[in-house]
Amino acid sequence: MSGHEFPEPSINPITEPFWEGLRNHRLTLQECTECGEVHYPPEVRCIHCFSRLEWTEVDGTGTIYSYGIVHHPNHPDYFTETPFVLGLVELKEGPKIVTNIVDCDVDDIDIGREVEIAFGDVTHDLTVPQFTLVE
Amino acid sequence: MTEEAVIIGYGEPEYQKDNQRYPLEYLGRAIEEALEDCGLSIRDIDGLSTASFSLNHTVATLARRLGISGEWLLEGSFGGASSISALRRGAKAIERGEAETILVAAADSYTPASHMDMSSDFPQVKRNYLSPYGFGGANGQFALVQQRHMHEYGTTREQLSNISVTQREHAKLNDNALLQDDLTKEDYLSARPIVEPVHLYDCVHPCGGGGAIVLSSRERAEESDTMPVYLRGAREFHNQNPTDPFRPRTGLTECTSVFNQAGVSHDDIDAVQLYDDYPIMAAIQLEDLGFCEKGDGGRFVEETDISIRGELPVNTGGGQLSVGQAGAAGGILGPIEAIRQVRNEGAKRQVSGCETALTTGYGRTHYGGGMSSSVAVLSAEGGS
Repeated sequence: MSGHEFPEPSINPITEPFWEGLRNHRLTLQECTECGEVHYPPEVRCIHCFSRLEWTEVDGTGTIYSYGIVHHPNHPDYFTETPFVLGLVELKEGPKIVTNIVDCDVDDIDIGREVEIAFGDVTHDLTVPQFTLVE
Repeated sequence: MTEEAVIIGYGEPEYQKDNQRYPLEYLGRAIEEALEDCGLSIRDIDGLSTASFSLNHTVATLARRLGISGEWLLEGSFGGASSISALRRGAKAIERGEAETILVAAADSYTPASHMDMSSDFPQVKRNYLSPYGFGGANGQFALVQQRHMHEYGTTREQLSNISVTQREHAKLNDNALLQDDLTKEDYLSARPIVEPVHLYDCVHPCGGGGAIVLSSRERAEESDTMPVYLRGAREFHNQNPTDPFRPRTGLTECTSVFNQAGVSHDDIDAVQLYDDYPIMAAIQLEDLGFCEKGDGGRFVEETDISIRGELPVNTGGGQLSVGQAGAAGGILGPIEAIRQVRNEGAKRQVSGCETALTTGYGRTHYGGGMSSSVAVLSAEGGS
């Protein structure tokens, strides 16, 4: 709640490739080497068959599975422009990713709408995946 | 359960706003009251389970602070599902002879701001994959769950209002409820948005408080002066939605055998004390336990009289929505109200003829809704 700075994620060896990909404006997620399921957030093994995972770049498109209009964010000193859209996007490859739907009219948001990735450069070193509505 | 353990005492000290006491003090007071209730001393206790987010302790270090020694200790690590899980496991430990008399306790102290701080960073998955989007803590997580439920099943805020409004009427009959102001359907619908579709009266007020329950063997219960409450059945389930963590469904779908275990049907349940962190979750739990069809929770709470005089009284003390949520102690509020009702000690809010009550726990949110669900059936009559 306190602080005016972006709530930076804690990056570790398991998750580093995800954040490294975002810095280069690529959405890379883990794919199971056995069953092919794609994972988000990053995991240590496949949550379907416990096989090893390898990183792969995904399309960055999907549909809105659910959403909320945030009037009271955590870290309100950073997220000062409210309301904004908290989205739960179902990626084409399967996993669901919590994100922000940006550059949109809140009234246009609806479950099922198609979205595509928009890379949010928070700092020089940190980019987060955001999404925009596809016309 | 074949050789049921018996609940012989409970304690629930005053709930308070604004961090008036250190959480360990709420824990101490709850245990003190529970022991007084059943006439035991701390030396009679040989098992302990505790649940807390804000106490910088484990159950082992708390056992030392409280002066409890024994073989059976259980860390309440399932958030709001912890206390019912501990009753279930404690009953099995008593059956196996690992302990004779167990304390199940929970306590925490939060303000709305300190609770938001905690829930932004803990567990770390929230800091890494939710906080960067300003998600709004649990309000944002459950807004996503509620929006999806509204979309899939046509659930409306009008329907859900009946939960908050009815529970507020119950709270007015409970001196320990922190929120007692009038709350109408219109107030609920016109409340300020928090994370839409979650509005003000969908949210609990983080506060300080605690509770404790004494569980013992049938033999011990016969020596006690207090009325025994039989733990007729209890179930728990974890990680119910592994690949779809925001799915509007709890692990209670995997716990419906609790009715058979307890030897009761839905119609035998005289009162239900649900884990109401949000009205939508109370509605979903009613669905998942089979009180109505999946998806019909909204319609069910609209068409059913859930007041203390109604067909299915729900959260008869006001629930977390009106009492307040003392962190992990939110998961012992329901069990204690269930015990109170079965013992006919509900005073102004007593459900007439309440012999059997069902209560649920839910919690330990991660990337999605709660990871853990639990349910217990308590009755004034022992099973055969």
